[in-house]
Amino acid sequence: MIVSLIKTENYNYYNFHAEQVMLANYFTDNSEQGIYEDLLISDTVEKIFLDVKTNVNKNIVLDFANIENVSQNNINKKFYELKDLGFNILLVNIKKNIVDALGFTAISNKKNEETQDAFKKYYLFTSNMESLDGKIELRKIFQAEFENQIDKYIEQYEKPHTSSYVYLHSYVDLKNFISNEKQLFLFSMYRLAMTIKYECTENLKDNPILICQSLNSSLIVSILSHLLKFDILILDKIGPINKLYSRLDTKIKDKKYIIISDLVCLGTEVKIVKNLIQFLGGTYIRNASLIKIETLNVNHIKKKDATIGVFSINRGNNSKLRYKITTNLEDFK
Amino acid sequence: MNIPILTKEATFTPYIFYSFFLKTIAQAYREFPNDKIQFVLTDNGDESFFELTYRIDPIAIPLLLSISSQLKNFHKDKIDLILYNTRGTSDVLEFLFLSDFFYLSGSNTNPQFPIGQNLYNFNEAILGGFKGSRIKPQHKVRAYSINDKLIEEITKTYDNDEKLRDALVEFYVYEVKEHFSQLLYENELTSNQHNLFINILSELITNGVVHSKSATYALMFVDRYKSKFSISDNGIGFSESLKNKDISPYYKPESLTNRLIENSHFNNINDKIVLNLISIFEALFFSFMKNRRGLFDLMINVVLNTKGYFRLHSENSQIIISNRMKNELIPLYQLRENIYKCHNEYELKVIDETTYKNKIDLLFEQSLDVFLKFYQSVQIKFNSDIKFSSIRFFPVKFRGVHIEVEIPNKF
Amino acid sequence: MNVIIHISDLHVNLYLDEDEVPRIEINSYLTTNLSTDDSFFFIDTFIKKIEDVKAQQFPDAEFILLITGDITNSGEELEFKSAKSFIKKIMTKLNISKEKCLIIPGDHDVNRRSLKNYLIDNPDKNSHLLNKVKLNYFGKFYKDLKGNEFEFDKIIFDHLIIENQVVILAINSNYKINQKGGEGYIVVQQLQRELDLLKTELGANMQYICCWHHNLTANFENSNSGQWFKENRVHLLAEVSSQQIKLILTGNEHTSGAKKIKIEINTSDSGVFSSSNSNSSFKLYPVKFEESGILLENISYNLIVTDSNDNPFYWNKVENKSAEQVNDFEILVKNTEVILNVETLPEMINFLPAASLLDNSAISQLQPPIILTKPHVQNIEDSDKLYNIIKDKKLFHSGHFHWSNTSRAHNWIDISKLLEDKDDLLFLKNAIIKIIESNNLAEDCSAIIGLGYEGNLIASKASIKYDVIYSYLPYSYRYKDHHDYENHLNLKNDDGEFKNVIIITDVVNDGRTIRKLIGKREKSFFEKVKKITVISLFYTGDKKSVTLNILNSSSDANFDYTNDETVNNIEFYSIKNLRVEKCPYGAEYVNECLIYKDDLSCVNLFYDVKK
Repeated sequence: MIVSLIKTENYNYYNFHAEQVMLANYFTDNSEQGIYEDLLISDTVEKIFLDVKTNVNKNIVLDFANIENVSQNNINKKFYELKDLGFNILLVNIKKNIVDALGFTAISNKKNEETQDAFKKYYLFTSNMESLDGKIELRKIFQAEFENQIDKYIEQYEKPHTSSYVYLHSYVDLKNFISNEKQLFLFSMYRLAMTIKYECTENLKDNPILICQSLNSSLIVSILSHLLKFDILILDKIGPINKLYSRLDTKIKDKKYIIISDLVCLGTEVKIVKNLIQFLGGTYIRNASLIKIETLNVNHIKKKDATIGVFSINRGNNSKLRYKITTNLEDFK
Repeated sequence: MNIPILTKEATFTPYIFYSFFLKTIAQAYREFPNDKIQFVLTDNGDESFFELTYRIDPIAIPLLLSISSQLKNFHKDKIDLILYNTRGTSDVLEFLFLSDFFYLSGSNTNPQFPIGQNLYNFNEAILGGFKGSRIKPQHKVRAYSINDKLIEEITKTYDNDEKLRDALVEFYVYEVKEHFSQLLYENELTSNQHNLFINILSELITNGVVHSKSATYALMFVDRYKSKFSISDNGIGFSESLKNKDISPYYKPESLTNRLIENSHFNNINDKIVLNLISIFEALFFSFMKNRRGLFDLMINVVLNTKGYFRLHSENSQIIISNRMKNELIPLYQLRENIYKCHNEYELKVIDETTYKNKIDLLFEQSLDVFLKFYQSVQIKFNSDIKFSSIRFFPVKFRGVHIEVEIPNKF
Repeated sequence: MNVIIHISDLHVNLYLDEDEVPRIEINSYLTTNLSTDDSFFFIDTFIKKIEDVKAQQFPDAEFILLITGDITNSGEELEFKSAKSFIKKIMTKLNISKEKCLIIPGDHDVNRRSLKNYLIDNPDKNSHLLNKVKLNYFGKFYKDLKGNEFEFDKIIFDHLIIENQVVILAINSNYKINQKGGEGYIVVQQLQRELDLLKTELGANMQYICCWHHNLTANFENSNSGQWFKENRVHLLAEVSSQQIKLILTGNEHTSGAKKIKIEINTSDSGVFSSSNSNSSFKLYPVKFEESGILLENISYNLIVTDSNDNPFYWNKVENKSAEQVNDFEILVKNTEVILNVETLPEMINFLPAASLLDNSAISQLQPPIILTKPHVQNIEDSDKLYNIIKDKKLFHSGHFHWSNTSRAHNWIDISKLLEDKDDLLFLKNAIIKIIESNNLAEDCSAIIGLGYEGNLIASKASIKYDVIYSYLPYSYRYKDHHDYENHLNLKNDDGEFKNVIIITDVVNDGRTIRKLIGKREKSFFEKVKKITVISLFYTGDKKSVTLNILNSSSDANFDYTNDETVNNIEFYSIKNLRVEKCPYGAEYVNECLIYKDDLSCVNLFYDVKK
């Protein structure tokens, strides 16, 4: 299974690191390094290229971000084979040492974009290909892809949200999304893990603990625990019914926590958990979620309170996704 | 014929192994050609005083296993290993025990530990009553063999040598990670370089397994200052495996060998031993000319980029490559990069076949010259200043290829 | 014979402070106070010792004087003036010409005051680059003694040649010293250039010895890297070793010693020469040209302080062995190796692969036994490990635990706590994969379902590894905590496309809950499922022999066909059997179970009691 393929009008995108992490940790199951897996194995390349070969679109973007090294330099032969089949290959975010090791320097293109120790773009062909000219931004193409897929899972609801005292007009059926869109879900989990690692860099050495507080988030936490190598805490059940089953002896004190949700809407449940953690002497670091609803402008939230998410429902897409929150107050201008 | 392994005079290092230990074994077989040898772990037997301590350099363990496996194959029977557990020996016994040495060399069948290779008979009851001091539990010795079930499967799937090698390297990348992961990741000093170590180890293990057709023993050791690997096989060696290489645009078997033979002037060294040294150069040369990364690139990386040591022993000769040879290595490195680039240009179709052949022909001739210079400089050094020579010769032939890599940890 | 006298770190001190008052904190026998005999007495004792040694051991000795820096304490003109008279005296008495002297500056010979003053007028300068300023007084002193200018911007600023075979290099390691001091640093490329030039000039076959102030390695400190800039040290060592340098003579550490860096490079520190508060020492190195090669003998002397008035101190030779120092530094070892015969070890003539020789084929035992047939065999290793975690973390509790009126027990395993540790969680996920793999359960499976939070947590790896649909359900006693859509299976099986389904859960007791799920709650889905595999961490029921069909109605002779659901297509696997005692009281438990009634021990309810 390939998890990172995103088809756009101009090209098909693959992410080597995501595939390497998934392959090693799950599919062939021979490593337990989670996202710290940073060595690209030729099995992964092989697997991606098998998939590439089924593509109609000959423009391929291969993202090397977070790949530090390759298991053997002879992987380059596989790229040559793909090139022979007529594919236009654009490598993005590739470290210079990898370009060197794989002998790609034999081919050069004026449009290659260089930074200090990496190439933002490295073309494995010499001609000019306009469709591959622009910026390749994973965040953007991922958001667009997610938007397309999640649409099917937004259901009308029309009931008051009791813990937050607002009207939600729809809800996202994440359970069905998870069952039916496994590839995108897994890529989202990978992206979420990477984002948490990036956003919580300073706290990584303190071994933060991931908290799950719903059935959906227990699945997410289980995957993140594997990918990030973090311990977990199960706080059931803070949900629509605001109640915590007492644990016999949980030691919350002096530890650091990241609260994980499936979807953060108004953040009420996050706040409950946060208060609880702080009350018991623990430290709240951040909260993270698969989907976040941006009810406030990003600039109006403190970083610590902002949800780390991989997909946002915001001013730009909520009407398309039929996602609305209202109150019983009268509208006026 | 009792032969002590550890003596109180000297730490059991690879150097002691090649120069003295092997000599003692050879002598024993010369005197009693029909007898079977017995190893005694420590020289003073049961009477050793408590103040005696025996020391072993962990990277000598793969060598010991390798010679034992050769002798076992010869006798078609396990070798006796006599152990004494006294206050003087208990530290070294405990170290060996924790390194899984006894599991691996004995008859262990518990899959939680390395499966016994049935090299030795020893009294297991001796192994106990340790102080419980903890060495790094990851300083383990491991065996890899082409006869492992999984490797057999892989071997069956590939008919092409190169592809088989690639597949094996992949396989060992994970094995190495699993076996040495804590060493590679938990030590802050090595974790920056973990991918390099993984690549080096899996490449060397694959070489051992593929070429030697025998078991390959490996050990990795990390202390504050450096990481060391030792990989040892008991196989057919370089000259045999290189003879069968096909002629290709970039390599003709024994082409370097012939050139070096004409230019060899070692005083007082048996010709066979010199030929053996030349075979090591030939092996490096082959990997130097190839269109794939391999032994040579690995060695250059260890020496030039990590300022480490690369010691390669086969049969009677050892070559020690370090920064001391920087001036000889840099031109080699540059030429190697040109060769690799030329191969890539051809494969990427930047140049056509005729251009490629012309270019590679030229590079081949240049390479022969550079290697000859390299060889001559090594030779001059040996003849004039032996203590600081990069090659060593040993009178006793020890089959197989034995590599030690030493890399200083980055601060 | 040439004998090198190596002294270092003289630290000639100013005797008076700025107010012309004798300074108290002087730690050197050598000061600027020349009005008394104290300093000269120290120098005389030293000269006398050398003369004695010469007379007794090396009558033909020709001395070379090597001073490896920190001649003064603060690089002051006055200090250098005194130093000059001490050194002149040594040279005269021991008959050492100025050509036979190597005088090397150390960081204390840098005049920080001059640097500071200069920087007031030139604030934009890098102070460490101002060699002429920082070593100005040293430069004058140098010229006075040596007769020629000190070359401020060179790295190798002096050398002398012994017997046309050994070259001793005087090297400046103060590149990075600024007004705040600093550690050793040598610009490697420049060193290489200068040394290459010198080598061309002097011809091949010379052996080189480097001398500089800073120590590259430490004898005393608990650090191997000496007092040197770390990055620079690595490159310098690489360069030095590729230049075939075999010996480096240094000072700075105030500890006499000899240590190896790398395999082939020796270092020697003569120690501090004239310290009144720590061990003073110096060294002699007779340079020996022998049949076998060239070597420097390593002889150290320590100052023994007696505190008697007429003979306050004397120099004593140090036993190398007790000082953990080598006797010789090898500079060149000629090749005398002869190997004319190759000795062999017994080996198989026709080499056979190792496997055929293994007496009891170890390889076949490598693989854990594969269980294809029906008996429910737990993996003992995993089983034990799981049990040990429960034991170590004390997760098996006693009390009254209550899930519903009909589901009550007196023991409970705290699974959510079990799953908190990432490694334990991963172990359990893997143990489940092992069950699936070793029983080939994934082969025709079309969906995996996790039960409850715990089921979700332990099933995630299997759900990703196998390319099948994954879904999950809350435990039935928790239904009202969840959204409606979460309470129901989101899979349709009208066409019977789901033939084999795996359910993953944490604990199975008598299987009633599972059967209810299959036979009642999600009947429409399970009706068309042919085989249901249940994988659980624990079997907590009371049956002694656990078989694959233990959860099926037909396996129990006393099956309660009225109140329980009849299901017969479950195949059951678990990691560990751990019996949990049920609450033995019947419908009247509220009054009969004293734990519950009187709160005798821990009582835990897992659901909301209806108000």
